[in-house]
Amino acid sequence: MRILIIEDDENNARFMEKGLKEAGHTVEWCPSGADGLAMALSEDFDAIVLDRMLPHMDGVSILKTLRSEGRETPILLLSALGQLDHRVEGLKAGADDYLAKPFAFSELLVRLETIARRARSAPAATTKLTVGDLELDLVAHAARRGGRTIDLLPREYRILEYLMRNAGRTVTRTMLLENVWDYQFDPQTNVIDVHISRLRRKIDKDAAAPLIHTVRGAGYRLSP
Amino acid sequence: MTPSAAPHKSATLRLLLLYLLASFISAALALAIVYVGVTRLLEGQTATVVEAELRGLVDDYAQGGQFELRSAILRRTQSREDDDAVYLYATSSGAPLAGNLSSWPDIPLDGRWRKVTLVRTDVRKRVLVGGRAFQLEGGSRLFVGRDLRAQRQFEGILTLTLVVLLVFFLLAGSFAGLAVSRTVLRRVRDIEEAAGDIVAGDLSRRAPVSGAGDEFDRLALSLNAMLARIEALVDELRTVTDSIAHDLRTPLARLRTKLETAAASSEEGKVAPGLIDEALSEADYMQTVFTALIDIARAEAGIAQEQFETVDISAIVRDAADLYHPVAEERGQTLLIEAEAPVTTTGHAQFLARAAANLIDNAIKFSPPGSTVRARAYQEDGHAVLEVSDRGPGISEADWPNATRRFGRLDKERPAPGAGLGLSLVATVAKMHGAELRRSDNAPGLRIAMLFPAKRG
Repeated sequence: MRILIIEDDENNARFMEKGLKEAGHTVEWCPSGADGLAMALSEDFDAIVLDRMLPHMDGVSILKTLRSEGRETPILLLSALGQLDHRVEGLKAGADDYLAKPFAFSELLVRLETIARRARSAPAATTKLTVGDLELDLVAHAARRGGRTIDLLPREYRILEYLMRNAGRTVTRTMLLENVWDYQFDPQTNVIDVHISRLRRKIDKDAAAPLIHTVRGAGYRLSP
Repeated sequence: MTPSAAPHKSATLRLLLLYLLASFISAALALAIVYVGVTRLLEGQTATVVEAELRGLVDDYAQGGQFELRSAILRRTQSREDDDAVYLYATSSGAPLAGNLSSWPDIPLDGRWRKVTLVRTDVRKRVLVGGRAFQLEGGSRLFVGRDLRAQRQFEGILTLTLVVLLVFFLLAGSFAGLAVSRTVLRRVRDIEEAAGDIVAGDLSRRAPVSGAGDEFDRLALSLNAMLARIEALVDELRTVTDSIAHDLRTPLARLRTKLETAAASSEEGKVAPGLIDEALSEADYMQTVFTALIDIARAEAGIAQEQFETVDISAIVRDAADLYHPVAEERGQTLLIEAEAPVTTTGHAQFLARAAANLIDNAIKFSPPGSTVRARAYQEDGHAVLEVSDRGPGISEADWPNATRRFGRLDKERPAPGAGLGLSLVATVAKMHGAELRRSDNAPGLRIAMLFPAKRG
């Protein structure tokens, strides 16, 4: 992917640039809002990482300008401000996702890839998700692994569905809270870990190889 | 005092001068009308009397001819009934035949009121006379008039009186105006001085209130209310700054130690395995504290209020309880949810969800294993209520204000993880929604209810 980073903090920009390059992406970095806007308007990118607070020109106005010019490039808005209300504001202005600083790099990467993928292809209407020998019937709301039926609580079903739709990719705790609970905050206690450990007991019980993997310092990944 | 280099400009003095000018002009106008009115009236009366007298004399002439007219004039000039009456009966060429004037006035003989200067033969003086001239049958002439000296004198007295009145108006107006402006200026200066002291750093200073209950008192009172709020905010900011310094320095110190150890061990070629993870979790903890602080600050500033919408408290309680269900079970606790029927109110879904999660989080954290935590949503007297109760040690009435303050952790013996921001955020979210946060004894345990304002209409 070709990614544009508009961020005035050099440290943070270099950190993102290095990580994205290691993940195999091409990166352009622009420290100024005006230059970044010009670049976003004149060249094609697969995704843009946009800082909310830039000197002279703020991220939200760049975002609004791009959208009013008809640019549909997926944009991830970065902000050092609070997330409970700014997220809503950012998404309303046309951002595809929102990430509060500081963040784990893995979270940025997953979110960027998710919005870029979403822009490339609308998800096909499927009735069944499959990862390895795990099957999820989206119509009957039933899960089976290797022919064994797994009883899931409604919330466990939604966690599993989200993990399976993002199979092979790291899913952070924040992403689970956002997508399964629609919570834009991290609760005081690490409750997601408890949910996952219960789900793991149901899914990976008696199985030869576990499907749910813990990604250190980031979150979880579902893969065979 | 304000550090202004320009000389003191006073709006009050400017207004006063304007007021004086306006009242001077209107008084002068009113007095001029009086003057003109009075003099016109007097002269008009005289002219009417003279006209009647002229008619009488013309009648005398018509009945008794020259002789009768002469004797009538003689009678009138000698009777001294009216000292100011003047007459002249003259030939067609103007030669005097009878009367008390020396010569015929040079005016048309049309009988109209005119003023002219003539010499009176009885007092031997040139005087201003107002009168009427008429040509009699046969060509002789008759002039009847009045000496206007007395009237002039009266006019002089009237003018003097009016001028004195005008001067008095001006003096009284200036005096009253000055007194008013001095009072106003003094009260304004008092407030100005208080403001100056506050700018200089004395935040406890207040604008003086005279007790008269006037508009200046009301101004001073609202200023003082504002100042009290500012002082409270500054105090709070100070407490928070101190708390942040204390509560964030501790994890920061741990983080630094860990990074230092890691740096030292990496020089030796190997890093202790858990060290980096521990450092990351310290950073994550600090981030959690920061995020909570920012959320509290934003909720307190009321910035998110434009994002208010209709929310179902029941759904919020169910979602939060659902999130914590496994955690309670792991601790052997029962999480009871009583939130079936929709309970709607107006609010910020995310802030409310966060408050509900914090309440349940606290309840689970502080309750003993095997106990029950109850989360409810219901209507009471038109209020939507969000309520969480536990069987923990509770919070006493005396400790309650401290518990809802930022970093207001209670006694040290308590097994209390977290930075002490949980209840503070709940309190702020309640305030942001205009909701009452009520603490009660769950006997044993704690019950916290958030009562949302009753819906209007």
